Amino acid sequence: MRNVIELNGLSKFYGRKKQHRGIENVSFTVEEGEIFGFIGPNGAGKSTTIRTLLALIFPTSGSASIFGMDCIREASEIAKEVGYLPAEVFYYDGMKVIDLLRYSASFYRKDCSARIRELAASLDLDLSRKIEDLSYGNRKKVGIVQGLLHSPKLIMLDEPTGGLDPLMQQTFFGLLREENRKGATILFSSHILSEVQKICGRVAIIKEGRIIKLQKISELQGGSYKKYHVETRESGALNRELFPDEGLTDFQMRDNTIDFIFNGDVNLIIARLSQMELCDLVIEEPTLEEIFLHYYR
Amino acid sequence: MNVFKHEMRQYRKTLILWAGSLSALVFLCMLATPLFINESSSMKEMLASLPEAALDAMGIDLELFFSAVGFYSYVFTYIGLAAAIQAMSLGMGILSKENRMKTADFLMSKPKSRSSIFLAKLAACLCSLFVTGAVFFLAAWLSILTMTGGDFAFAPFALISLSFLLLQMIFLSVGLLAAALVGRIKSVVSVTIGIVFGVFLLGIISSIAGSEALRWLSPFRYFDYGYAMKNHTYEGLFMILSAALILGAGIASYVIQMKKDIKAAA
Repeated sequence: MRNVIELNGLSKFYGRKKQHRGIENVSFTVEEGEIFGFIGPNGAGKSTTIRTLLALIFPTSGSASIFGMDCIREASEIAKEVGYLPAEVFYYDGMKVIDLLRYSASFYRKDCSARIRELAASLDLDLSRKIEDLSYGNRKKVGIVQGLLHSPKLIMLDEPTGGLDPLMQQTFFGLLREENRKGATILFSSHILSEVQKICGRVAIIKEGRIIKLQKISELQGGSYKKYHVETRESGALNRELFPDEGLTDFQMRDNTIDFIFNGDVNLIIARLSQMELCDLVIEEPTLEEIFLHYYR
Repeated sequence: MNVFKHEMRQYRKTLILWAGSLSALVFLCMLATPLFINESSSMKEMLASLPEAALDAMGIDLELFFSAVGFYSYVFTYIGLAAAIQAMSLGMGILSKENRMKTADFLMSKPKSRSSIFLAKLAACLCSLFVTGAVFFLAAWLSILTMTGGDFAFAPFALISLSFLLLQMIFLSVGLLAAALVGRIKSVVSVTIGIVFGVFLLGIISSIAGSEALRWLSPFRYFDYGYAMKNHTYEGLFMILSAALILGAGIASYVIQMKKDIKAAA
């Protein structure tokens, strides 16, 4: 599989003296045909990364390429095959939806009218309405149509589901899967883990501008992370020192019960627990949210 | 071409309004031409009694005022002010609207280079101003022709009318530069009116004070209509200054626009 997106030590600092970090030394690749999740809380650097890839902002250092072309120098050539949906969509006043979509299509030098009608029908979008009269959710639908109308090879989505009701989110995910089946690569940025979990194959976790984890969703969730619930017969038998420091998070102790997440060899914990008399032991898969929080502590 | 067409569509109504208003204004003002010419002796006496500074401030040259073109040059002082407002608000508005309306992400993520977007917007501005200028020139020419029956000096009339376009080019460039430097301008009209009136006032002060240094700061004073009527040309130095200002501000706004980060919409 060839890499569609490649980031090599990409950094962006803001401010006159470049004192505010947007992203620092971000490196990852997105392979052709994959749906790649990009997770992080607000302000972690997701949008900065995407906006740098789109040459909306210029990197302070490092480089990035899409389809093997430099993101900054060959931005307009790259954009021919990229569909972008920003977190907040804004369009020109006084335009009807269809006029805006035709204007958007005019940049791609191909007839997109059938695809516009098809997408509008899927999303139940009225093309004859004026954009300023649309609700936030309907404006988001306009954004989805304008991002997909030219059947791009790469789709970049920055917090795309805001404003869409759950049913519409399902339709939207369906559209993305369909585009992906046709060969489109998708970069899906979000702070909502459940939706990333639903659609993405691989994920990068970004924290304070730095990539802290790059893994397959299945490995992230089903790997060595385990959530433990331990209950002993007598109180006072448990304490934090009984367990290893490394890989242990979310440690909570109440009377004779403890809960924690451990990333490591399960036998290590069992060996420690075998020295005490237990009345309950639950070992389960943590949710992606819990793993996510593990990284953010 | 699609960006150019889009901009022309967006500014179509404004263009019609400006061209129509300026044409109506020049026609209405020029209706008074016969009165000024016929009543010239008594008005000359009255105006001569005013302090010279007051005449300078109003841009009245008693030697030239009482001819059709002289009166036109006086009327034109104020039409130039309106023309400058149109050009500057157009230049400032067309660049800053993507930030103001938060549509920059939409436009700049399309397969169009920043350079071609800037040039398409500039072409739309120039086209709008040329159309306004042509309509205005036609209206002014028909007005003066109707009022004088053809008895007027065409060359100075054409020279004065030409300054319409030159003034607009200067203020267009300044508007583009202001938009490139500031980015998100909340109220283009109020900023434009503030700057244009400030510069116009500076021109009046330079006339009253007879200050050459202050004259450099006000493009309204680059075009001396009295000089143009006498010499059938403008002062070379100020023509060079005009060209430098147009090119300098235009190129600077282009360079800034190519290098600046697009602010996030949210």
